[in-house]
Amino acid sequence: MGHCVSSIVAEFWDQTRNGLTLGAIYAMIALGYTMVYGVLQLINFAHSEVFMVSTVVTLYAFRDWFNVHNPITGPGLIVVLIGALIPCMLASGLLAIALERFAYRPLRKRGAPRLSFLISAIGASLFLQYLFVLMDGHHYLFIFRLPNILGPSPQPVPSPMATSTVFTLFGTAVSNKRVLVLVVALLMLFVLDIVVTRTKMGRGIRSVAQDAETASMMGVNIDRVIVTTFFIGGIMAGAAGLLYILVLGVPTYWFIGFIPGIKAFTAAVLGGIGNIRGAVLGGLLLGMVEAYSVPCFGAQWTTITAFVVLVLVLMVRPTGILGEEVAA
Amino acid sequence: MSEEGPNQEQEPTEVSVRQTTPRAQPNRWTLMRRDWRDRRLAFLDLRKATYRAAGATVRGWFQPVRQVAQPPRDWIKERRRWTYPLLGALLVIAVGALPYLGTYYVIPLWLQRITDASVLARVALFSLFALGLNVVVGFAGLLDLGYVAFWALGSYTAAILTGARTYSLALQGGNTHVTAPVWNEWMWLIFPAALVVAVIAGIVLGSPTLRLRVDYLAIVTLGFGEIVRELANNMDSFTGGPRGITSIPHPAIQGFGLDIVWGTFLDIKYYWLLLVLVVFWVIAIRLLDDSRIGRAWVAIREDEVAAASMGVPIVRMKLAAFAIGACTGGVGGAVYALQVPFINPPTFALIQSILILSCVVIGGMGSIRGAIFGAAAIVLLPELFRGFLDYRFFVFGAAIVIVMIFRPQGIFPSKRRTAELLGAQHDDQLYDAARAGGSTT
Amino acid sequence: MKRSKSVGFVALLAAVALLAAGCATKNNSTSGGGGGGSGSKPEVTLYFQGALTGPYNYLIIPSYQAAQLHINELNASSSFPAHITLKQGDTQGNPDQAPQVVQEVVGDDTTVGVIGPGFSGESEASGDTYNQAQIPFLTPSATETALDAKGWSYWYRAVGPDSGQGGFAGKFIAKVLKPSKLFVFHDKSAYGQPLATTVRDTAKKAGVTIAGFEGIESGADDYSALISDIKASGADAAFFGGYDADFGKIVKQAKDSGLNIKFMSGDGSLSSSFLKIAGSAAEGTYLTAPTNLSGSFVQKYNSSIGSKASSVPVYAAEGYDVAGLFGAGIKAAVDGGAKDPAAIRAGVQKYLSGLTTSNAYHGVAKDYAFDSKHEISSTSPAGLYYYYVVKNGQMKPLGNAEALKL
Repeated sequence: MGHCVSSIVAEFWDQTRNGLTLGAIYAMIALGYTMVYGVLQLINFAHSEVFMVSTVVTLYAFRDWFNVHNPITGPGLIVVLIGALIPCMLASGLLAIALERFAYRPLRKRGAPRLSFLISAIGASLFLQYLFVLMDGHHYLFIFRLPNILGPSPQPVPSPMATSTVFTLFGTAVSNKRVLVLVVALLMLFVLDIVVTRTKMGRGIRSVAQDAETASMMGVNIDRVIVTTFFIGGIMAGAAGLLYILVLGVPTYWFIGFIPGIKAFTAAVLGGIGNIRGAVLGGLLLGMVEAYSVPCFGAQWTTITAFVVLVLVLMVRPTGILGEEVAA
Repeated sequence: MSEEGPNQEQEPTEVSVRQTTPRAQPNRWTLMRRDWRDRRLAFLDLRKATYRAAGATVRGWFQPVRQVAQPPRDWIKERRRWTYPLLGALLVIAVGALPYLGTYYVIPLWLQRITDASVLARVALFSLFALGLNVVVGFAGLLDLGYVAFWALGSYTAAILTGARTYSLALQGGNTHVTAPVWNEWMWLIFPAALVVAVIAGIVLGSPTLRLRVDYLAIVTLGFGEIVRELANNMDSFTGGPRGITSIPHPAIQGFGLDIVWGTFLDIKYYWLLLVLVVFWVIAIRLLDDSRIGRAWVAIREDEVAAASMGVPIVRMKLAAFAIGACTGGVGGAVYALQVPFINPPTFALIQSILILSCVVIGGMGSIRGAIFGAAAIVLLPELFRGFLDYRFFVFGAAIVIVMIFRPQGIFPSKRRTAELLGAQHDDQLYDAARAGGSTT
Repeated sequence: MKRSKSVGFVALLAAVALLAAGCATKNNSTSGGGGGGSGSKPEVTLYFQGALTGPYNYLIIPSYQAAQLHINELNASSSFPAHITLKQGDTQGNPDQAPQVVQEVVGDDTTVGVIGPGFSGESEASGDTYNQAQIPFLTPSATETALDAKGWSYWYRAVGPDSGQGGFAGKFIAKVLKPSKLFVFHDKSAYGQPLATTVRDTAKKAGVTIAGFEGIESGADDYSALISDIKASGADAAFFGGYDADFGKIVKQAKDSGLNIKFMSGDGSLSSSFLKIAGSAAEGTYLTAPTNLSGSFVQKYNSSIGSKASSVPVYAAEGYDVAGLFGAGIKAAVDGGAKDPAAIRAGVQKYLSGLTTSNAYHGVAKDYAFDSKHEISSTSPAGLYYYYVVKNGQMKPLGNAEALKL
């Protein structure tokens, strides 16, 4: 225990920086889970694939469309980043809508039990993962040759941004990428909060989350609200995908969504599922817990620590830290 | 017998009136009339009772009340009493003999592939897991995404108790002079031990978390599955760490004039062992489902608050479901460890929990034959598609979505659940629960 | 009851149909067998068991390609007395998938041997059955040390075990890298952890201070927390026991966050995938493996495989040689009068056990002979382990442990 505390103290600011960056990304993905859960009481297991698609679009945007080989600076960089961010968000948003349309809506119209949605989500997730594995230019679907999009191997993504230190706080260097992640994440979360709490559309979402039946009687178009919710969740996951690739410099591959997806879902539950601010809080908290667990227990105990914290929190507060905001 | 009460009260008055009449003995018509009157009165009485119990609905009038109506002897029913077990036994023998299909007939390759003893043993193993998870998910309505944890606990308990762990650790330490563990008579105790360990784990996990709602339970159980796997990976001195436990001895029955020794995992006797377990579990779960506990689970699944107010001990019943699911996983895991006979943490990945859950949902939640069918589908489909190696999971994922869209209740929907789902359209849930409970007695 | 009768009838019909079909296929197969007998060469099957798909396929595909290459050559040669079919047994490197493959191999009457299993975990899961079914299995890439203690008489290993790799890697670190402090970490896998443990122990013995020893969670993407930990430990060199994808991400993120220390890893990270993932950050990374990437075989591999050739053909020469060893064994068995696959299997095993250092099989990578534990026996064990450093995106060979006088 003494070792644990002294190690955390020694690496405190470094690990806080690491945890906040990762946590911000978790929070953005967690929003997709929590909003969909709010309106449909459905764990959208295929949300991790919505995230994965965004990392693939990031690859194409940087490597092929903008032809980035070496880091660029100045206004060119901003153009490239925004030029990549928009297709990422669009692709993820559209995939989320497609998921709702083909994997969930038919079940909803048939009044299927809730677990069927979950299994359908898992099936859709497997389908999408292996679709991307098959899209390597050598496989056929009936008579059509699948295009070469991703394939089974990791594809490195060129980075348009060189890493440089923006400022040093308590001996911890904070890089430009990490600052960018935090700024973009906070900005998007802020905009989302306004959209949900202040606009008509947001009121629709909240009303459906509270009581879908009454909302529909009051003239809310439930199908439209659900599609919008999926789209917003997709957009957030899309932005998260780009930031994830950018800040970590990892290659994209067909399985990339799995771990962030599970962690983000944990974060959503931690904060209180269905609760948008709860998802943000849960994401940041989970990121920090994971970061601090490394100097304390060692890197091999990260997942265990995260889940033990979740269980402990739920034992004290059975509906998450901020409580849930869904119809009982 | 309570319907005789009013009869006895009325009898004296009638007799006193009829004392003057010459007919001391009532004729058979009178007897018959009385008999019908009694029956009608009793019917009305019981109907009222049922009616009250079932809640005030007009439909209660049309409820069949079997105890009074006394239908003619149901020959089909009586024949079922022995035809069903007989047919069942024949079916089990036929299924148990499936691996011999390829030895006596030349069969196409795909059929050969799916009637192989080791593949069928995997089907039986997953059937067992699906039956166990079905109790948790299908009967009690609790979503468990970490079922693999119980499989892992059963496997590790069995492997550690056989002494294989010490042997593997010695091997890893470069000591080649130790001898591999041999199966002893007392080693059959590892099955109850695996069962007990899994049940304890189920209760330890269940007691703090079962008061959470279903979706919170989903993530907590998912976390539990991951925690168990990671612990197995990290506690090197106890579980052998990532290298796992090797050379687990194969089971044997020696003595009592028997000499049955199980060989490597291709041995058909593993399949038979698992098949026996599946049959045992099917019978046990059927009985449970028809018992008070089974009905308590229905009540909890349909409306927890109502069930609690009717006096159903919610937490205890949920724990029972969890423990039964856990012990199934533990026993199956023990057989798995003895069969393979090598276990290491990557085997117990999250995907296994998801596959087992898919068995339950595709087959039909709450349905026993559905669980077995689901297990067969989940294990055999990828085997059939082995020729199209790369397309296996792609097709599998699409198939799951399509099945869910066209049969959201699963391939073999549970009759009881279907009744409830149709009944749920009415507001009076109490009535439906009573009807569902009554139909099985 | 009517329904169950009709079900029974259908079942009866089905059984009859099955029987008829069975007879039909039986006839076909006998006539087919007669047709196959027209060529005098016996038809035999070799299986290649390993991660042909999945995340680790980079480490296995080159040896599969090379084995297929050699088998094509053997089949084309008129002096070779059999016709070999190489079949894929894909396990994705996962021990849980191994039983299905083993069942297919053992159920195939024409099997004479297995090239593989590719990894140690699947070897553990498959070995007992192969040994009992008396099928020779010769691995070109599973390096876990403890496999040789299992007492399988049909198992052989064509590469040096991890104990040798890790031992020489520890000496390499002490004598060539000369760090003031060494951080050792691994991916908590059956391969990575024992390798890292051996490296830690030998380096310590050779006088290197160990700054930390830690396991990580394989498959994650964010290793910043680990990197902060390494930074805090003050190490100036780090050894990783694990696979290419993790190592690539770690090296890249370390360079990105300004941690400029020397990284080294073993054969699990020696792949084209590592170079691709780490990109320019890979420069100056050291790697070791019991395989020679600069041998004469590499040109042949590149020209024959063409565009599908791996840029880091790890264990390709070994795959080629293992196929050759099986070919030589089959030839010896058939020339010795063996006709059916069972006799050929026994002949192959006899041939492999009969190889000695003075009477070895001369492969493209090295000479092959097996000791009493069926490990490769060499007059100079240090000659089995090679070192590489990444220069300009290429694996630049530094020579083997013998040349470096470790």
